[in-house]
Amino acid sequence: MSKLPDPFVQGLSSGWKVHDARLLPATTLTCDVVIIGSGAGGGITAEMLTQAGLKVLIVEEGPLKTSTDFRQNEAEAYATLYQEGGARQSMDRAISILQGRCVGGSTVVNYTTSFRTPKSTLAHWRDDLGLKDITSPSLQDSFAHMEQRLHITPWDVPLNRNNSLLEAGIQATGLQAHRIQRNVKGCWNLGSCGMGCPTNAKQSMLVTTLPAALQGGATLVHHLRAERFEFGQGLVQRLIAQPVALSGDPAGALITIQAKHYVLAAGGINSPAMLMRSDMPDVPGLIGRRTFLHPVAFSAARFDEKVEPWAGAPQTVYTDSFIPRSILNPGIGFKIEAIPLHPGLASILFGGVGQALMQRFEGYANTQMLHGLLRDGFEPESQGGRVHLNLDGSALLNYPLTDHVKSGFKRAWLAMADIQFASGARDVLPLHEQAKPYTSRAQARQGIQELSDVAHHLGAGSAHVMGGCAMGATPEQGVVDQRGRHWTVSNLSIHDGSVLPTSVGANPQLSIYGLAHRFSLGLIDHLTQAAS
Amino acid sequence: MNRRDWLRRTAGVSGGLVAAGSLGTLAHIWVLRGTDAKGLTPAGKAILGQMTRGVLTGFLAANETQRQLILGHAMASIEAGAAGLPKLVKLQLGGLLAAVDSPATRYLLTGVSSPWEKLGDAEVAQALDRMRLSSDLPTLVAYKALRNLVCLQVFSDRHLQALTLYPGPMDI
Repeated sequence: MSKLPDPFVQGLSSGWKVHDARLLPATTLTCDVVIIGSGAGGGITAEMLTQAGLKVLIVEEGPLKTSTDFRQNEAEAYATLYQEGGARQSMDRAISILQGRCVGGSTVVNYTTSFRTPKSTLAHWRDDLGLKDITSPSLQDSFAHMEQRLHITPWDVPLNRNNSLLEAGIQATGLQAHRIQRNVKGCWNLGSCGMGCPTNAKQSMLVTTLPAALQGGATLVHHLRAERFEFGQGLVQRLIAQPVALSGDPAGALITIQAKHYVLAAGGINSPAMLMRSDMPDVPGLIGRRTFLHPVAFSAARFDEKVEPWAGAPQTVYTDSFIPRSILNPGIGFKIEAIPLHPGLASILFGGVGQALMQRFEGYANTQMLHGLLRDGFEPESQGGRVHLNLDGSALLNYPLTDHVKSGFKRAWLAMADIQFASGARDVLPLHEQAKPYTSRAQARQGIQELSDVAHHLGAGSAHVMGGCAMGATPEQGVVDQRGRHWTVSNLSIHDGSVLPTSVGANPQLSIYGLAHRFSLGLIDHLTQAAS
Repeated sequence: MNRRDWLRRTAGVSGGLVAAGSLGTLAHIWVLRGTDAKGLTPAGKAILGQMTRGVLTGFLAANETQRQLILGHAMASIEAGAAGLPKLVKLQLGGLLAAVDSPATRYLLTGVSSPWEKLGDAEVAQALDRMRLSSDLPTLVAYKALRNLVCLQVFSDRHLQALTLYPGPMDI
């Protein structure tokens, strides 16, 4: 195996058009299409539109950091690659939210977990939400195309201990364990995916579509926050953008961008906030509503053997046995996966202070961490959260942890405890502030039922932000149509996870790639036909 | 003085005292504000230093020199993190730190009646632990904000990660 070359270092020296907005004078930039955001949706769109011969400008709020900068260092990674320095939280601080903010977006810091949108999710969209076009079999073609483009393949390397224990536990409880596909090529199995891949093995937008777009003549401006659209005659007339420092504070003169078409791909929370800052017409009142998080319940287990939860490919095994509703599993469904534990993240998840925190770290090397990822947005009791604007125009997410969601947390903790004991755990600690390490299934069952329902006690987290600009079958049901086009502003599209009408029920990167691919095919047709 | 006058005067005096107390507390919070445009103020550093020794009780060496070394390094990391926050978040953090420091609001938020510097490490940790298990929303919000800031900055720091026995990343 070898460390793959840094495409940005080579590309920049060959004359790619990449600019730091802080160094630009007040100016007006023009292009055929401006894409706001360079993550999963923006990256795919940029490559496809550039290859179609369109003049593309990509605007990214975060910094440009590449494999040369990635040193497997949590402090550096959180400060530079994540929204709000890794400290993004729901408005009441009950949920920690990890979301990327850099060139390449969350694809730079995700764990490479790749699922097609589950059939049950597509069926819900088709049958209950009337989304018959987007759920047609042709979406599978887009998934297949993206799997090939991003080298999404089965992981045939021996599992790390975190995941092999999960697999053994699932099988021992009589449930079905499956392996996860990953978008990697020549992976070193370092386990540092969340800090940016230092070897360029992860096939993120940073090493795939963005270099292709830049090589094809696209322009990238980083450290540039899309502030607002200005409208006239029913169209977006221009985008006003603000150069920003790493902190997000203004750092330069406003830049105006004029384009024939505007693609918003800033991701959940940020895309709806952008439309709200723009006073976007929103008669049905949908913008920012139904924002979903896959709220996550965590369960730590200590084993007699070493687990070293920081090492190796982070997420390679899962079970969906708790997704379908049944007598044993009423209410919100959840997916169970393992997650990596580096010290910074571990300190947040372990909970507690002083001696309690110290004791949890004493067993760190022998700790396995699982999460139950709750599938929100499918039941009437699960409406997700709502985006608001803070005093400075930045986004805030109000996500109430309802009784429906809280009951899912308890069932997820019970299921994870069963799996962890079945794989030989010495004790299991649900990451609830009142929980103690339980040494038997019976003790865990009783203890978990007695845990409080106070939202801040649940230790909830999220790494998947979805919805807020949902696609709908009619203008009353969605912000955009099933082609990702705004229902009333014809030169505006949204190509990111904010268009998802519910959560995905699986790690969403491939869902966003597939949708962006399908939306982009339609947009290319539209723009090239208009030109001819 | 009839009963009605007495009640009026008593209500007036009480109202005046409450207003004066509130104004005094607000003025004190302004004086103690924990951040400015650049990052933590001296008052902010002092109060976060107190919180940090509570969070890290158990990780701190018994040897005073080593203990100060750990706390000094932790504070350097926390200061760097605070300096990188957006302006509005800095403002909110500054207000929170002052509220945790100022006597009246400190008592309301944390239940602690003595100045933090008079408490031992274990007592600070106990106060934080009471906040953790509270069901009062402002207390929980304060706890989450302070604990997560300290933990994320301290345990993400490559040098301080040695406290956790993490061996560091695989060398490439």
